[in-house]
Parts: sequence; structure tokens; C-alpha cells
Amino acid sequence: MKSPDKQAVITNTQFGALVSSILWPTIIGYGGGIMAREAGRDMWIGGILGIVNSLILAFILIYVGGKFPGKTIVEYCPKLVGFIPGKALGLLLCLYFLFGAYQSVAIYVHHMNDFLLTETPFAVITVIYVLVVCYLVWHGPEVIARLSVIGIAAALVFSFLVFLATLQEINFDRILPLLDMGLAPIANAGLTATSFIGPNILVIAMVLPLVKVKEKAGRPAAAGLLLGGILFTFYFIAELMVMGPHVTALMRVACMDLVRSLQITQYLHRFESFMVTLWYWSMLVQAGILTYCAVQAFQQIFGLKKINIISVVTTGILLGGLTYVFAFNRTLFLNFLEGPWDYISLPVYTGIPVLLLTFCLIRRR
Amino acid sequence: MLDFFRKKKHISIDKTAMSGEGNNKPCMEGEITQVPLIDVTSRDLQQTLRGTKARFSENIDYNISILTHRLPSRELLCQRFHIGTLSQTRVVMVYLGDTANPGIVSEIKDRIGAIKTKTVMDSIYIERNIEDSHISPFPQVETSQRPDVTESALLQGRIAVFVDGSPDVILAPTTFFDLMDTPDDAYMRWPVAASFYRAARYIMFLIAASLPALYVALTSYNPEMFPTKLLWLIVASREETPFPIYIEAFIMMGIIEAIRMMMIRIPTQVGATIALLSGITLVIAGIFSNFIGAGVVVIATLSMISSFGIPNFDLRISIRIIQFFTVSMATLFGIFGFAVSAFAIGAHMASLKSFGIPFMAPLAPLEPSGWGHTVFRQSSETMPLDETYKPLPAKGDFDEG
Amino acid sequence: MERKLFLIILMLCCSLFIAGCWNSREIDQLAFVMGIGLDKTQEGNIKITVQVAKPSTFSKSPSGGSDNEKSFWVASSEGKTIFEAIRNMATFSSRRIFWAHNKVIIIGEKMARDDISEILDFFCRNPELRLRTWIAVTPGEAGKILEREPGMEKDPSSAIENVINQTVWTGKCYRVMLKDFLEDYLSTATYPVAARIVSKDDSSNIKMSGSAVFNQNKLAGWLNEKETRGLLWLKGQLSSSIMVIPCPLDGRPLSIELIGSKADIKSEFDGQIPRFTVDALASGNLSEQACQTDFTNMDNLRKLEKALASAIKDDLESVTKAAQTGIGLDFPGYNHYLHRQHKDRWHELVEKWPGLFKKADIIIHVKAMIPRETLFARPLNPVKHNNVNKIRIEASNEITR
Repeated sequence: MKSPDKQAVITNTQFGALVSSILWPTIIGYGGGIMAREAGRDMWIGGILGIVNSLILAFILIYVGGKFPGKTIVEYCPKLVGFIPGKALGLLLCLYFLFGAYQSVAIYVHHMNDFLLTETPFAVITVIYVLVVCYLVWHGPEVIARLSVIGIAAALVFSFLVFLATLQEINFDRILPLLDMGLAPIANAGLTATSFIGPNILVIAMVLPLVKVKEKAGRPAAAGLLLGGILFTFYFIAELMVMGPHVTALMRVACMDLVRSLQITQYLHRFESFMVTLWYWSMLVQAGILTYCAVQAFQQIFGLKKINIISVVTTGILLGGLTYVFAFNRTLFLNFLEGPWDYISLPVYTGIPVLLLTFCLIRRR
Repeated sequence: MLDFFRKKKHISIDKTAMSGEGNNKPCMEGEITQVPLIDVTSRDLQQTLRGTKARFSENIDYNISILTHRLPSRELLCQRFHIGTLSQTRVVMVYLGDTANPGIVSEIKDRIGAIKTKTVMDSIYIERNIEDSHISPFPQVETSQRPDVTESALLQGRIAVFVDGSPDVILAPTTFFDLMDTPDDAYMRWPVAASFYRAARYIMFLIAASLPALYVALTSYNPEMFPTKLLWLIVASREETPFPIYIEAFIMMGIIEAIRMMMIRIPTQVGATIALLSGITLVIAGIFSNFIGAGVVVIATLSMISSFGIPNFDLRISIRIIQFFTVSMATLFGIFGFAVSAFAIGAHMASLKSFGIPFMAPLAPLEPSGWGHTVFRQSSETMPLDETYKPLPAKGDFDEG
Repeated sequence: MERKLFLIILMLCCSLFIAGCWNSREIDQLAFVMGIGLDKTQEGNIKITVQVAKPSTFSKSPSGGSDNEKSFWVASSEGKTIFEAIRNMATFSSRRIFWAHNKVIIIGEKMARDDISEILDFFCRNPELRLRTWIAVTPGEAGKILEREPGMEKDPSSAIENVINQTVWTGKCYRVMLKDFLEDYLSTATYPVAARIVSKDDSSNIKMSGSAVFNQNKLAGWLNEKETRGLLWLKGQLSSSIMVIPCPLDGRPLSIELIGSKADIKSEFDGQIPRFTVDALASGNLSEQACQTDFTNMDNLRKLEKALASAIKDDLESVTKAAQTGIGLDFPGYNHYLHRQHKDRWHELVEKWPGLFKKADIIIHVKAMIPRETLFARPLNPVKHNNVNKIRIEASNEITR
């Protein structure tokens, strides 16, 4: 590139598109099934809870980030909570982003390998996918944000197709009665939803310095969160109506099974190819921005400015390795998501914003 | 309207700074001779039913005189260069001083000035030297032979580069939507129809890039995606054929390219007929003797037809080559390969910049205000102007503290 | 640098082409299964019968087969599990068995009485199969159904699929997809119901008639057509049906086409015993009339509506009786209403529900309307001369008034 090297800029519209297109892909992947197992026919209320929850966290992050213009969360952490704890938090965030990216990669690879390309080696799909993710990271957040616009457009097209197909299957009996099992399972499902959204919310704190009009970043973020939330809540409702809560709970990757049981007349009778090509954009945007955040967090801990190729390649290898080692065994991956991940994710995605807010208020910055 | 005035004011300050070299004279004041209208043989790359029939010729003075005739404004500025140590070819950069982005103007000026060559045979050499990325399959400048296209480009704040001896004028910066634009859209009376044809061209672009790949991916990896009856037809047409579908696809795409080249080479009087005849003969004989399945023929021809929906020659050629890439990926990894290649191309297009303007603007940095005459065509009495070519915020906007 | 990069990419691509195409399958090497029949053999093995389409006979393409060729192939194999039986098929099938276009799964009675959980498990677990596959149970052997050559369609499974789709017009069969069947199977206190398919002995045709009720994984009993129509009423799935009722005045048959059907079910508790009130509202067209009664007379119409209501009530009572005393399972799904309307109490008594349901009090009210008599205004009687005059006089009176 011969053009003058400018600082990346994300317009506010793109920021909203970015937030919404990274919000919904992973949660419909594995989240649907897990939440159905937790809350049965009330899982969609859990989704709404998750959105409310993450809206609050997003506003905290935007508020705290506004106090440190031009700085990412990793950069202002040491100033707020002290040098060593700040760096430790930065490292934690870096690992958290890496984990989010790994999950995103693993979920997509599972979709491909379990439904469409059952005989292709897991490693091959992983390697190619990670290569594309690294290509994106190399281009940086500006390009990812631009792609997120296409991603959200593809998501809307896909949702519209699913909506058309579910029209003939609308069956409210499968959602009623509301609050069937009481509030506790719904709260649990809400936490699960938030633990899936968690890494994506913290992305806001990482890309906030790149947003064009930072003072007005709250509105696109909220709009993006709501749009993404509507997308996946709609998807949950569609799952419940078409398949019913028990089948949704039975399935490991419920979103693909929804697509397996839909058709728009007999001429468009299988959606899987639409799903993997349209949903894929958001998925890759998500994997790309999470990996970018992991790389950036790592570099900022050590005070490096420009993204260099070594850290991208290292992260790519780490990502591929993690996916291959921990996600090749689907049962292990699922058990991890269903069990420990909640407990790991919850302290990070709620703990860090609340901690930073507290420090911010104490130090009156 | 407000923006227009703001921009004008904003730039008029810079103009004085820019014209320090004294070369930025209004075109009208230059050593322009009104060359009498030369009969230009019609070689229309951008034919329209309506609109001017005038085309640029190979004489640079004549070309600029057409432009000054169309835009007799003192804001129409010319920057003159002599490029080529041997040829000293005259190269003129033309822009509207009050609308063009001064950053882009100086960038192009620098890039043209930095060209080291013995001779400039055609504007393509200038084009290659000033482009951001010449590895990219997508052209980052537009070329046109039409004075009206050039005029409208100048009004948008773009910059035209004339090269002596070449009828093709370079218009820069260029976005994807400029390349997909035809003068027909602007001259069409009803905006709904114009928008419809524009949208149709985008769909044709997608079909040209991806249909053969999708076909290969679905037939050889996931036949379950086809509706049953369609699948029966495909299977029935392939019952006796010897080659796998992807090889058929490559063969067919190759044949189409060959026929296309043949049509260019053979003298025009008989070219079309011979190409038509040979194509039909090949395909029909191939299908009837079961060398090749009918499905592939349909798909490859459809993608060829669709590729002609792309008005820009360079973009069309790129898409035809990209099609080979997507088919290869689909051959290797099925629908996953297709999705990966589509995404890789999308990511490349989103990352590409033409003189600092994102290639996919105003779609992929989303600026819905600019859609009126790019993605679709707005209904308006005057030509709509947008802010696609407005300068990006400079580095100073981001304070490090 | 660029050249090196290009070489590396080229080598990578070549190596991929050599190693690649893991999943690739040639569609002409696949045997597309259209229907599956599952039976239990004497030894307790599973016998799976597949009906494979021969697409080459489907098209008129030059490579297609002759008209006399049978367009399907039926094969069966045995194994201890379904998957083993399927894999055993590869020992004699020249093409790879491909499930994705399967339309219908037919379960033989012996298999259904034994255990169907394995069937559900296998076919829902397999990503190739769709969850929209129809499920039907046949008294007798499932394999035999698939061998019946249909009259209209080329292969039996398409015929069966179409016949299943046609059942919406008769209301004599409870059709169910794999996904809904599975949902009912998994839910507590819900008993899945599937379509019943029989082969007519005299001809080669098959017939959808009645339904099969499952107690979790075992066939519990059959419902006849009358009971099935009642079941469709209760499940809210009756879209159309023909009710043949004797004319209330002279006893000759009348047919009424049901066009609207809606059943509201209210539940309440009478102490510990739940009580259900079914309020059914039907509307129908008088489509055929063998009797001479004039139903433009409102009194006669009221009587007819009453007769229709009592016929519908008869249907509903027959299915309720079958559920409460015959089969003894709550397959019509009364418990859903209890669950929805009294969810707190439902969770307490869900364990006791099978016993409680038999004691439950079910009251059925039916209201019927006949708003249309299709095109006629009066019965098709030869008009007597006097009558004509009368009509004329009445008509002229009408006009003069």
C-alpha cells in the first residue's frame, strides 16, 4: 500500500453494525441448545435477559472508556487499578478474547464438519478458517468493521429467509405457558446467554478508541446490541416454534437442526448452504475482531504499537492449536461450554467492567 | 446544499496553498487551441441510446477543448506534466478546484510526478503507476472515452488524467460502484427502472463470480441441497458422462473464454457468426455425445452472460478470472471453500483503497446518504452529489494522550 | 518477493488438489433413497428396505433410458442395528446409498410394537436426513408398501409423499413429520401419533387411513378414520374434511365440506379430578345433496346444522372414548391445556396424569354453521309449472316494490 498510513477509523454506523454482527453468531450455535436444556420453553426470555445484561455492561464500558479518550481497556487498566494488577487484567482480557475467538472458530468448524463436510479432516477446515481469520486480523479493525456491514446485511437476509420459512410453522402452543419452570432457570439461561456474549461486549472497550465520534458511541452500540439481540431471540423463538423445546434441548447444534427442519415450499427445501454462506460473514467478523482484540491486547500489554506479523502468526497458530486440541472432541467442548465456561466467563465479563467503574468512581476521573 | 458551500469554502483556502507552483492554471488560460472536430471512429465501450455521441480522440488538445467547452468554468484546473525521458508525453491532470479533495489531488500529482519511464505509450502506463495496488484484480481507477462521464466525474470531485495519444481518460479515485455504473442509468428517465437495472447488475456480478462455484460445490459435495426434481434432471444429464463435474466446469469455462477470444481476433464481418456457430456446435455435440453434462453448460453460459452485466472491461476480466479461483476452492472444499473464497474476495474488496477512498464506499463504510447515485439512483432534477470523495479525517484527530 | 509468494501459493494449491476432495462424491455414483421401510424379522434383526430412484428414467435427455424401464429399485438388507443393516447394503448395491432426499419412513407393525426409539435416534442423529420426513406405520410389512408400483407417479415414495400431502383434504389421516413426532416422543405425558398407511389389496395403490398411537416407544393401538378426524379436531389440525350426514328430514345422504374448524378447550378442577370443556365451532359448505329438502328455508337449515354438529360431536366423543377407555393414553393432548391453564397444579400431578386422565370429565359442545350452499339457491328439483309462475310473480313483485 502506497497510500499514506492513517489511523484506522470506524464510523459510528459501522460501530453499530460491528457490535450487532458479532453478537449473534456463536450464541445461536451452541447457546440455543444449552439454554433450552436450562430453561426449556422459556429460553428466549433468557436471551432477552442476556441482552439487557450486556446493554448495562456495554454502557459501563463506554462510560469508563470515555474517561480515557484514545485508549483501549488494556491501556487504561494500569492507570486505573495500578500497574501490576492492570497488566494482569490486561493479560486476562487477552486470554479471554483468545478464548472467545477459539470458541467462534470451533463452532463454525463444527458446523462445517458435522453437517456438510463430514468426511473432510477437522484439521484442514480449521487451518483454512484460521488462515482467513489471520488475513482479516492483518487488515485490521477498519476492514473488519467494513465487512461487518456486509455481515449484518447477510444476517438480515438470512433471518428473513428463516422468517419466511417459519411462517407456516407458527405454533404458540410450544412457547406457552410462560415462566413454566419458574424464574431461576430463566436467570440461569440469561447468564449463559451473557457468557456467550461476554467476549463480544468487551470488544467494545477495545475498539472504542477507533470510533469516529466517541461521545456518541453509546447510541450505535445500543442499537447494535438490540439488533443482534433481536436476531438471536427471534432465532430462539423460531427454534421453539418449529422444533419444540424438547428437540431443541436434544440437539447439540440446535441452529443447524432448525435449518434442517425448515423449507420455503418444496423448491427451497434445505437451508444449510444459505446458513453457512450468509451466517458465515458475521461469524468471521466475530472471529476476526476477537482475534484482533487478543493480538492488540497482547501487544499493548508490552507497549507495542503497530500490529506486527509475528504476533498475528503466533495468534493464528495458537488459535488453530486450541481449536484442534480442545474442540476436536465435541463432547469435551460441549461439556466445557455447558459447565465451567459460565464460571470462567461470568467473573470476567461482569467483574472487569464493574471493577473499573468502581475504581473510576473512587478516583473521580 | 449546505455541505456543498462548506466544502467550497473549505477548499478555496487550500487552493492558494496548492497553486504555489504556478502550474495550476485554469484550463481556459492554457495554450489551448480549438482543434476542429475530428471524425472519431466509433469504438464505443460505453454505448448508450441517449446522450452525447462525442468521444475523446487521441489528441489531447482536442480532448481538453471538449471539456472546457462543456465546463467553461475558471474552477476547471489543469496540471500539466511531461512524462517520459524520451517521449516527453504530455499528461494533463484536470479537476475542479472547488470540489476536488486537495489531499487526493496532491497525492495523484505526486504519483504522476514520480513516474520514471522512457515513454508513455498509452494511459494504461499512467494508470498502472498511480494505482494503489497493482496485484489486486480490481481496477482502482476508471477509464472512459466519454466526455459526459468525465464531466460528471469531475463534478463529483474526482480527478481526470488525460494522456496525449490515448482516447482513454483516467478517472480517479474510483469505487466499486463507479465501475458498476453506466451512463445509461443517468440518462434513464424513470429512477425506479434505473435502480432496478443497477440492482440487477449487482446480482449479475454475484452470479458471474459465484454461480459455477456454487454449482460445483453443491453437486459434488452436498447434493441434498437441490430440490429433488432439479437434482433428478442434473443426475439424468450426467448419467453417462465420463468426467467429474468440476472438470466439466473447468472445460466449459475454458471453452467460453476461448470463444470470447476468438470473437475478438476474427475480423468483425464473420467473427460473430463463426463464434456463434462453433460454440453451438461444440456444446450441442458435446451434450449429445455425453462428453459433457447439460447442467454445466447452462451454468457456465449463464455466468458468462451475467459477466456482461458488468460495464467495466477490467472488472469484467477480473471477475472471469476470479470465477476460476472460486471454482477451484469449491472443488477442494465444497460449500466451505465457496464461503471462504467469497469472504476472502469480500475482505479484499473492503480493504482496498483508491487514493484513500475505500473501494466499497459508500456501502462498506456505510454512508446511506451517498446511496442515491451509487448503489441506487435517486430521483432528482439535478445530478446528485455526495460525500464519498470527501477527505477522511486526518491523523491529528486522534490525540495520543 | 511477489514471485516467490506466487510460487508458494501455487505449490500449496497443487498439493491441495492432490490431497483434497475428501468429501467429494459424484452424483452419478449415488443411490438416492426416496423411501425407507423398517421391519423386524423373525430372528429379531432389523430389516431395512430402501426404495431408490433411478433419475436417468426421469428425464427426456438424450442420455435418458427407455420408457419401459422401471424407475425405481427396491432393495433390503438385515442387521442387528439400523446402521449395520444400511452398511450391509453396500455389499450388493453398486452405488453409494444417499439418504438426503428421503421422503418417508414407513414402520412395519412388528417393529412398531417392539421399539421405535432406535429409529428415531438414528434418523434424527444423521445430518443427511431432514427432520421433515414423513412417518407412517403400516399394519403388516413395511417393505411391501415400497414395492407397490404407483399409478401416477414414477416412484412409490413420491406417490406416498403426495398422498400424505393430499390428506389435508380428507381429514382421515394424522400426518406427522419426524421433528413433530420426536417432540411428542420427548415430552412428558404426550404420546406421539403417526399416520397409518395400508396397501389396498385389490389394486397396486396405497391408502392413508387412520393413525397409529404410540405409548412412548411402542405402538399402543390404531385409530380408525372417524377417530382420527376427531383427533385432528382436538389438535387443531383439521383443515378440511367431508362430513356425510343423513338429511334430517328424509334421511338421504348429504355431504358437507368442512371449511372452518376450531376447538377451544377449557380446563378446570373439580376437586382433584380435572374437567375439560371442548367448545368446537365448525362451518361448512353444503356441497352435495341427494335429498329434496329446500335448505333455503332457515328452519331446515337449522336442523341441518344441528345434524352436522351432532356428527362432529360423535367424532370428538369417539376419539375421547378411545383415549380414555380404549387405548388408555392421553394422546389427544388434553394435558397440554391443563399445563397451559393451570401450570402450578400441573407440575404437582404430572406423575399421576395417566391414571387421572382416565377419570377426567370431558364435556363436548359443538356448534355448526352452514353459511353457503355453494352455487345453488335451491335444490336440484324439476320445477313444476305453477312454481315457475310463482317464482316469476314473486320476482316481479320484488322488482316493482
